[in-house]
Amino acid sequence: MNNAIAEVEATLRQILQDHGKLSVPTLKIGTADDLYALGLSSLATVSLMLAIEASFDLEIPDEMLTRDNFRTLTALGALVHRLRGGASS
Amino acid sequence: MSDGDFGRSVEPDWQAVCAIAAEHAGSVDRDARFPSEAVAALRRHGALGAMVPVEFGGQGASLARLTTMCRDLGAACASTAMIFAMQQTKLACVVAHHGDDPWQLDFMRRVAAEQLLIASITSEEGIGGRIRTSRCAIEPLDAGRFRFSKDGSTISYGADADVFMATARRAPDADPSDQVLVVLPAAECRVEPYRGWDSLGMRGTGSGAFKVASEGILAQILPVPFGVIAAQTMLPVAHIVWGGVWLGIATDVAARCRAFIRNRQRSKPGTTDPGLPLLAKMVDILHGMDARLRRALRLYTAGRGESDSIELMLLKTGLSEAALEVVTIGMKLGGFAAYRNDSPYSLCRHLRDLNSAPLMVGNDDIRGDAGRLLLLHRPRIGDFTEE
Repeated sequence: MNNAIAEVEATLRQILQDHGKLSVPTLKIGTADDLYALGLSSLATVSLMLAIEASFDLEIPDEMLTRDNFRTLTALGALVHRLRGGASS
Repeated sequence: MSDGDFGRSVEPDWQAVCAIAAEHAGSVDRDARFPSEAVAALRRHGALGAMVPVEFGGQGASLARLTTMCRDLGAACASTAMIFAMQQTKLACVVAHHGDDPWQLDFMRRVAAEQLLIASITSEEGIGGRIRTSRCAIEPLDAGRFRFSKDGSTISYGADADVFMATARRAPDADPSDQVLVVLPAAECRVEPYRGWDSLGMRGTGSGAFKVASEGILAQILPVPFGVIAAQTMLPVAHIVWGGVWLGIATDVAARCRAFIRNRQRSKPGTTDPGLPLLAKMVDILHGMDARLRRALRLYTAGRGESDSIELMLLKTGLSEAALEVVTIGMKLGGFAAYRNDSPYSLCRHLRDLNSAPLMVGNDDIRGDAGRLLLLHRPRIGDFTEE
């Protein structure tokens, strides 16, 4: 794992800790775990979206605001990476 | 007059139940008492188990059928209708999320066979009506048992219920939103009322405050997280059946106004009654409520999308205010005939009952949440199609 990806994941975990209102501690969440299954609610997803946009200074376009893009830490990482002009998708 | 004119269904057994509810609606309201005659009629009909599938001894009623039943009953006695609507909402949660534990399956059978009345303990002292938050918790005991205690700030018909269904945190160390839904037979509960129900309207629902404590076995807890039950079943079903009740009350308002104008016109047949445009406006609003409910029923049956759930949230705010607008117009149309308690065209009870509609889960709270969700989801306004 390179540093940039690790950094994004660490930031995402912190955002999830602050806004996710999940039933398990964020540190224990695997990158492929289904966040909705862990209790991520619709309203908490809105907070998550706004915090991600603020932290990474980006705006997620409507067509990327899908349930799947918010389902796992991996998906969120890929979303951030794509919007920052990264190669992975 | 054709079937369904002013929203009356034609099933004779159900009309008989509604007639009993209508007969006692005045005294239920005046004395702020439980509608015992109407609930006895519901039990004789088997209607308390309407939502229970046929294979479990119930009527297997669809949500559409239930909405019609709520509308009919709403036109007869709003308190009875709201009790019926709340009963079916609780039942819908069990029917959709019972899992395969024998205790829950047996509970569904018992509701149908014994016509058990189920009250809801979702509100809590210090939290109010924010149902996705709990203070109380399921406290584990030995041998698969638990202890539960909750100060329910608004438990409708809590004094007359056979069963309670309560929200609680999953465990003493769980987050306020990490909730479960638990079934508690009233015979196994200690129920202490600490505030009564002397209200403007809906005076028969007995929505006082009660402290409810119980012990039970873990199988009494529905196996699905309450967050899922609330989003998939409880909120959409509640909003649809409440909408049916409010539509029913509003149709009775329009029926009384229509009778009032017909009576007034008889003495001066050649003239134009000033109430006619108001009557037309009321019925126009009723058509809008009816259309929204039909659309909501289609959305609920078809989809699980977030845009749909936002629309089902806004159904409650829209229909509650539309119904209130109907009775407000009715008061203007009927004048003192509507304003008096002792007139055949009285709308006093309807006006008072409908004032509860925007309050039961506050419309501003719902719109606040819906507005927030709309930051993430675009409203879905689809293309028009020929059907």
